[in-house]
Amino acid sequence: MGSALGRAGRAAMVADGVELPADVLYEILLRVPAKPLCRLRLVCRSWRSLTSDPSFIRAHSSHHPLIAGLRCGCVQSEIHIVDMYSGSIDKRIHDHGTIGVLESSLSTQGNMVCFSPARTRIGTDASRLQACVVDPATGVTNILPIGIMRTGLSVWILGHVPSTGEHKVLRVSSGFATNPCSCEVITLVARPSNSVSLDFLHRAVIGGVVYFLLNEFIHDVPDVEHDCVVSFDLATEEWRPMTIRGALSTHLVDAKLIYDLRMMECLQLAKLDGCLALIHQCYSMDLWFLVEMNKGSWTKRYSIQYASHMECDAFYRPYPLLVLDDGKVVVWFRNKQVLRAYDPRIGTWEDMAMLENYRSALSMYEGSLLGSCHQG
Amino acid sequence: MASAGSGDEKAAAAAMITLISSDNEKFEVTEATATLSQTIRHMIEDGCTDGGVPLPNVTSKILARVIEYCKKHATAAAGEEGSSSSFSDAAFLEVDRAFLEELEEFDDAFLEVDRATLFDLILAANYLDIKGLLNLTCQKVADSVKGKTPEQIREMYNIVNDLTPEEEAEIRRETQWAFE
Repeated sequence: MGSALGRAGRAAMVADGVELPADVLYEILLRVPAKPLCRLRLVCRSWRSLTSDPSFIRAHSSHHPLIAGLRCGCVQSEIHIVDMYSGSIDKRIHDHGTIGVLESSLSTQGNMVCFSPARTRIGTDASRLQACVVDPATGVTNILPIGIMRTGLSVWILGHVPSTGEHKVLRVSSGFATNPCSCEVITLVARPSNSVSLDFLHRAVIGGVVYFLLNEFIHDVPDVEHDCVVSFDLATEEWRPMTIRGALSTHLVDAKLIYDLRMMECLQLAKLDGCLALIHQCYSMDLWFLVEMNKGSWTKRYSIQYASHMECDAFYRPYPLLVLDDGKVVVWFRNKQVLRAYDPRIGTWEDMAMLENYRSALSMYEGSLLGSCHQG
Repeated sequence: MASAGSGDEKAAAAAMITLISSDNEKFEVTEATATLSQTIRHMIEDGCTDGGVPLPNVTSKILARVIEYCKKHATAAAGEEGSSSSFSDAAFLEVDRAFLEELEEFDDAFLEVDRATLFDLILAANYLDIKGLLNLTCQKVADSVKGKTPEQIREMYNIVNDLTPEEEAEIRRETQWAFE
């Protein structure tokens, strides 16, 4: 049988007289996780060129969903890039000092990871107090400017503006927001943003727009619905004037009840299937997708039943991370520190991987560790 | 060949397809079983299966195994279609769950073959375009490959190292993290 992939030449594996053509080798190597795969580039030239091909790298990314997790330790904290299926750590980033549990933030966009170390630590030099944007595959690091905000709890959220191709970082603090770019400082003082929640389970970045749930402690604003979503446009660097009505409010759930749900951490935001999703959970998990942005209309696509009520820990609520190609929903059970896949057709759960010590922050990583293949 | 389950029985009245191995052995299968192969599905759609489908790349030994796989999984596909209307019925869900478990066990047992047979199965799955079987068999090889050193791989698969020392150093440099 001839080779279907000209680029890989006639390279083949031969075992016990059976010869595998390059297109089959492609299928096999696609299923090897990133770390061992990089080592196997040493086998021969054709293995190297096959696994360095941009189309291979793209296909590999979709076969091996990766997660960026913030692992907080007593002495040193690290960012890990983890293979979702095996739970194996493919890559560690830890060259930026201790990351504090409370002060830290983590966000991902394309092949980049943005994280901020602790703001205060005795003996830490000034350059280590800043957030940085890292490409885990190449190790290229951009340290972000400090900006004008030096006090208060803040998070750094990395986004990508599709129209210009720029990456931007939105810094939101409990005081106000600044907005520096990764290469040049664009500082602007936006309207006070102490109304948005800084929790990473309460935001999502989609198409250059950062969406937030409101801070749960807003009592003084009249008629505010506590499932509503506010958004920041990274292209214009402004808060968007329109507030999106939440899925529960639009479906006639009592405002007082929504407030209670919000206070009990029953509401979350996520990016799922490229859509903004509002998660409502109590004894089950309902996933509402914002299907029409302009009309603000939400559709309940999934209603996920837990295997037991014990799973829905009120302190560490489960969080959905990804909808797989086969329709299964990957949910992160933060209390048990395990990833499970839910099959909505038959209502079954299967364990995927253990993810220990990433409770403080975790995010899907859409880049590849095999090398750069594309932008954004 | 005997029908394996309820899904097959339903389809038994439908057309049967004859597959002919490279060593000229004939296998009668239902259309539901045969069409797990995209290659055969297209042949059926084009109406060129009269008189049997010759598969010159597949021996009878391997074709028998492939058919065994397709029969099992065709039953699964039929079961899924049947149960989708009774989505909320707990009893049906239980049946589905049990069947999925059984299918997993079947797949595990199916993979208990020597390396040459495994490679032959991959080639057949690739040629016949049977996604599930290709995935299953390639994953098995990938799992065995990922824990091995480049030297072990070369030895196992008769591959000559044609990289220069400079190129090897470059590979190590490019993804240093993978060698730590």
